[in-house]
Amino acid sequence: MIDLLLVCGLWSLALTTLLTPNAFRALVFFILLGLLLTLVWIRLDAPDIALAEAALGTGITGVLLLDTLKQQPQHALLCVHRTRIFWAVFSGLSLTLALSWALLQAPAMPIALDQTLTAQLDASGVSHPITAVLLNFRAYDTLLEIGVLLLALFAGQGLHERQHPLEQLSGAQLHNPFLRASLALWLPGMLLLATYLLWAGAHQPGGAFQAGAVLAAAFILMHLCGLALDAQVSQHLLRIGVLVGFVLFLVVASSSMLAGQTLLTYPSAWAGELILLIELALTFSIGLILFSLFTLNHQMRKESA
Amino acid sequence: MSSLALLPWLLILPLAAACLTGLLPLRATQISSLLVILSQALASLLLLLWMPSDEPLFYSLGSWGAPLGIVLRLDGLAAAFLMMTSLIASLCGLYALSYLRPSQQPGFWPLFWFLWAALNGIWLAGDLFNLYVGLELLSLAAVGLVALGGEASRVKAALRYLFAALLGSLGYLLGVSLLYGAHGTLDLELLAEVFHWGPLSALALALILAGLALKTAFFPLHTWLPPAHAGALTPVSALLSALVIKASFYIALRLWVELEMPERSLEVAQLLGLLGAGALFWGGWMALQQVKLKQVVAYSTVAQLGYLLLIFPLLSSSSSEASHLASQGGWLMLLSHALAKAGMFLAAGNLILCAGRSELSALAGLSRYRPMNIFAFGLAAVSLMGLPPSGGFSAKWLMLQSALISGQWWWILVILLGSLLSAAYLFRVFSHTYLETQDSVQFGQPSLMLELCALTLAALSILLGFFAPWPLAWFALPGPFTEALG
Repeated sequence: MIDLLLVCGLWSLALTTLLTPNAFRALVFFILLGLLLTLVWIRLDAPDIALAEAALGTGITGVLLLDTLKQQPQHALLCVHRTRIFWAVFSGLSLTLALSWALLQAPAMPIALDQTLTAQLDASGVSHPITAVLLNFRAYDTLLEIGVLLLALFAGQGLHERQHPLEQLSGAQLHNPFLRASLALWLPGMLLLATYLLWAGAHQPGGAFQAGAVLAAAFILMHLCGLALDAQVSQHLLRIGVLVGFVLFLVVASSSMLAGQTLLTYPSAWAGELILLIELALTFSIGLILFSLFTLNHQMRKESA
Repeated sequence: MSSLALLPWLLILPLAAACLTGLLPLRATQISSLLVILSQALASLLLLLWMPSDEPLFYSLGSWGAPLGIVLRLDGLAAAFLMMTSLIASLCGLYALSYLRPSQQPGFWPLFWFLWAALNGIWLAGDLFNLYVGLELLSLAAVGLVALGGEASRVKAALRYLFAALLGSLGYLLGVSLLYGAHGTLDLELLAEVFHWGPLSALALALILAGLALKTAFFPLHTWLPPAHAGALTPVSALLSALVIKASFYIALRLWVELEMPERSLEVAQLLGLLGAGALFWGGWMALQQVKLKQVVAYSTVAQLGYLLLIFPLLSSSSSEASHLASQGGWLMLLSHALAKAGMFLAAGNLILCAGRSELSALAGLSRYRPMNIFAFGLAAVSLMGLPPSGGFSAKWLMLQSALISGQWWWILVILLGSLLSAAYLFRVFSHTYLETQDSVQFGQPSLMLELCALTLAALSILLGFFAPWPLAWFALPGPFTEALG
């Protein structure tokens, strides 16, 4: 029953997002869609994905979209192409039908990877299987994924030619005493939450991505209150901070080759500590990368102004 | 030092270079990039020379082994494409060093190194999900490079490219998750062992192929390609047309053969061939209509991708000799197109620098005043048209033989007509350069480095015709692909 309600909610929210001509309202529906999706992930027993969806898919993405919208001249009206939407709905429906038909005839898995995973979990250095997969068994994928995140920032920064060092950002964005006052209350809590998510990742849902997103949210709130992080630290330091997680990961990954092991082999006695170290640096860098993606928009506007 | 110890450096060094170039000042960025370019070229050459002739190499990341961990695999194909990437990316890097303005370079180098790392990662990957991550890294780096500088037209082309690439990624990812659900493994070797054919596998492979086709810009999913490839800065255009689109094709063909699709779906193979014919004719026709030089070259890429699609029906032949010839010819076609197209884009960039404008009409008189650039463009054109003794000729020759043996005569017609059409649009470019102009026109002179890079790549695409036995021997080295082909 709950599942049916969730699915119907997802469908109607997705359609409303597509059909609303007002960009701001469409955006609000999109954020609602993300929140509902978080609930769906919880129902599907995937709390890690639910956390990531809430923090990254809805939180940070929503902030980025809202901020972009704010820079449009007026509240832009989206033109709704009826035929396009018809085709989108049509192809979505037919794909859904094809998928459900195929899934009904799904064969039994010939390889039981979950049993191998459980058997090897003790050797990974952490007790939460998802963290074990992300940072040990398939750490190479995670290394490259952090690369993708860095790349997004580099691609954004490549959009403007750098003739001279970037101008320092001006401070205050929102003159709202209430926000400032409440931030003083929230900030320690957010930092605590980020640390908890990071620490918890070793044995229950959580980890560097989720913690990094919370950290980024804290940075963004500070930035909006005029406590601009990048006005106080130099651009160069900020860039080092952005890179430190990836570089540390790469160094740890290749240092195993000194001992004659293959890339990314952690010494078994140190695996847990090394993973925590990598996650700590990653959290910091992910927070800064997401924050830099947010401020990128403001730097560009400043240049064009 | 063995090949296995050398292997990880092909990934570590470009990734490290991407970080360094994102941090260092311009001069240090250029020097470190040059050093890493040299080391990459050396490492891929050594890997190719030390390639064992009896079995492929496997490198288990984190020592976990499949199916729990990720395994890299190095066979003759991967080694050959690592070498191709080193060769082309090095020359494009050198070209960029003197072509790009100092203000453009800080944005360029980190993206360039991520692109190279992603390509190396894709050639070596032995895991379906790892291939997805590699594709993401590759597409995002390519999109960033297209948008470099933030000019409005470039950003527009880049956004279009981004949406196409993301849709392709989604299709691929959905297919991969279905395959995992049906087989319980992401490792390609294991998957090929336990693969069973059914509705789920069929739908998964259809989604994967459609996603990869969108990323490769196979006709009729090619519309994002011309604005992105023609609108980008010249060294970026060369990298994109020569290497980036080849990566998704490489994945598609490997999966197709290693999961033994040629016997299973004869109709789909013929349909892909038909799309290939469509690409050849539509791309060629559009190239004939263009008024800007780089647009001609970009549409020529759309057309040439048609030859790669023709491999699918040729592989489905009952004779093993025909499918062997088809795979050899196909991989050689990929290699020669990569060299020729990189050379042609760089030469076209030089011609535009000379003429000062990008229209074909601006080229009048250039053959007399700047013959070296025309010569480089011409060498690349010879290989694209498939005239002997170029690499393109050897590749088409193998494909024609394969079509003859398997009795699929209609593809012979398509290959020949496609070649005629490419000759038509390339000669159209030449005809503009031979027009005489009033003597008042002033031509610019690109630096020697720019001319040499273009000429080297174009000459290599011709030399490939003489030395074709070498790459053909590498392609035939034992590995999962050649074993599956039988």
